Amino acid sequence: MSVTTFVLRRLFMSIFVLLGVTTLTFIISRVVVPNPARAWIGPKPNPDLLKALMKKYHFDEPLYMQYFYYVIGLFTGDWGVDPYSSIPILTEIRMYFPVTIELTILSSLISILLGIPLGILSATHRGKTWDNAVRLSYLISTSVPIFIVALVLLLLLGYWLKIFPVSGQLSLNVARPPTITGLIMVDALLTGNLNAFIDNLYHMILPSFTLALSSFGIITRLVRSSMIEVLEMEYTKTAKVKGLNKNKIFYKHCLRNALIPTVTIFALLTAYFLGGSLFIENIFSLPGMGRYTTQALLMFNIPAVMGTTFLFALIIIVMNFIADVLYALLDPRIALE
Amino acid sequence: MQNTRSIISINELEVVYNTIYGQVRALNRVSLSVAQGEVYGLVGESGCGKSTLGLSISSLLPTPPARINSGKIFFKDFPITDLSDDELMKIRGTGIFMIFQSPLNSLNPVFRVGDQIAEAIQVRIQRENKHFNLQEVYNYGPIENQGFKSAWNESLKKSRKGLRNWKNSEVISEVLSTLESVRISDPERVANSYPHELSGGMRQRVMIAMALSLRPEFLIADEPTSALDVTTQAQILNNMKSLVEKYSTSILFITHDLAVAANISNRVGVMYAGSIVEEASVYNLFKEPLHPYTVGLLKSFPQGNKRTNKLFSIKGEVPNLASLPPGCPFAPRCSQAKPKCYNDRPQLIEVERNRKVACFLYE
Repeated sequence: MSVTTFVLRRLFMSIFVLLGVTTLTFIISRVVVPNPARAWIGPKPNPDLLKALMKKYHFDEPLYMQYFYYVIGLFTGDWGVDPYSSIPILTEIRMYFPVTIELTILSSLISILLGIPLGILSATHRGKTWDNAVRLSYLISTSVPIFIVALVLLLLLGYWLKIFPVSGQLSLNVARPPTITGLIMVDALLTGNLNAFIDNLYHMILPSFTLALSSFGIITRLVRSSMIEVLEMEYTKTAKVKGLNKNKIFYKHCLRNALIPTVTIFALLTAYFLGGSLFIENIFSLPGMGRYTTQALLMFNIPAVMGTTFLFALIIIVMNFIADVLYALLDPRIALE
Repeated sequence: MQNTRSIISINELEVVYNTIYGQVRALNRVSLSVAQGEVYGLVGESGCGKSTLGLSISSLLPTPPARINSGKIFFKDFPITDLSDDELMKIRGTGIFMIFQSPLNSLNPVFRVGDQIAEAIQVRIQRENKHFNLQEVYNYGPIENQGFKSAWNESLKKSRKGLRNWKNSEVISEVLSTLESVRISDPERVANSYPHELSGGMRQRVMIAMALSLRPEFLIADEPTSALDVTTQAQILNNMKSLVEKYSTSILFITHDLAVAANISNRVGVMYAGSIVEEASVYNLFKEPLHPYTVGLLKSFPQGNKRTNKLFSIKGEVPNLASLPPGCPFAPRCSQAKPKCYNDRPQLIEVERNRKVACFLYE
């Protein structure tokens, strides 16, 4: 089977996963709040108003019809309307999502830059001081809950030492660049506004670092164990006994094999980052998806919750798909099976 | 083989493994030497230390747990036991090469077979280059690290310049011709395959092709045919013989299969519980084995022309290497054991010309 067939087949399977996700989101939201319209309208509602609201959101129809409207809406770009602000959910998501994208990309970069070298260091110094130090550090950082890490770093680096700003995306004296993509950093670069780019990056470092700190351990652990495994493989011995130099043995023959399993956890990490954004964005007051979702949850804003859940699931499915394809490209043994 | 120069000589090598059950002595004062163009067959049961010996020569012993306790290994009179990885790098490949037992794992799964052979060819070209003089580097021994290293770096620098003139297409055509020379009928397909797309025998042939393209002076073959069927085995053995004929490579052929050892070797060493108990030319060993263990080993080999109900087996079990008795390790299983055998350890002594045995029966 060629890589193209593999990709197509994997894509086809993703569609079914996506349908499963819509069913789950729908069921969960209906079990939690059977009739959200009641929550929105407040105590002692006007019966006519309630009826109108229920009709608007199809709550008066049987469940299977509601599900039908929901799925049709999802694929036609109608994700519902925010009952409080009367803004379509998709428009709201478009406003909040860029912050989360920035946060996730920066966090992934930091955790890769931190995780892979530390894992390699740990594997090559197995059982020695460096290895023990690295293992201890990732054990601590993964076992402390993310909101504790966030608060400690905020207090230490933001409040006491005043190295990093404590909240927001931009300083008050820096004007927000015109919205093109929504990502402030990209917009700033597109408009040549270097000042805004640096200021935004400066604001994002502490939240991204916090998120990365509690997740780099996953990468380090995996890189370490697969590197140790690869270093003891027979083909490493062959590479050695062939007379290749150290760098070629290590970076060409070992690292590529050791990093293959690491690719698969990026999908896992994305899920972790999206989950972590719920805490991080609230603590650092960033207007992102995490903050939007928590607020929607607290206000029974069911259309928004369903929209964000579906989007998060979609992202994770896409990341899984990318990981699988990358895996197939990196490891020639996969595509054939 | 008397007056020829020895490629590898091992002097009283002792290797121990530190395990949770205590120190396991895998090699007990093993001495042997292999001459240029000679095939030395090393036979013995599983766990007798054959592979440990092979790994010690190629300096691939996993340390820890293994440790060379005492003794030295000489490659062309040059001690290699204390060399660092950087220094070993120049001896490995064109000097010493090793083929492992499992053809499934000895090739890197993520690179095409052709690329892996090309890599070996490039290593050889780099060293063969007229600027790269191995002897020049050896002359600095016995190990004055600084001089050794700078000589190595100097000749490497010179040879890199030479490598740039080497055309890629020439490497490719050599990859194909090497694959052809190990009787691979469609070298293009094989060169473009990943290891998992090839059968076990094919992969082992690729390893031989790698050896052919490196043209090593000394090749360690650790049970290279044990995982293969008999016809493939015969072809692999022929390929290895051509390596000896073409480049007068010396081979240490490690096997538990007496028939294979008889087929390929000039001289055979029999190993038991970490020591060599008998060493003789192939003809002598099979015609008239001296050591009681060798006698038993040859008897346990099924004879096609005899109708016997039961296969012969040496009574008793292989001793635990963690607690070897003070005397001859074979004494508890030996039918001719004398009281002396339990207390003193027999030395490997020359009883005839080119014939050594470690047994008190022949003193």
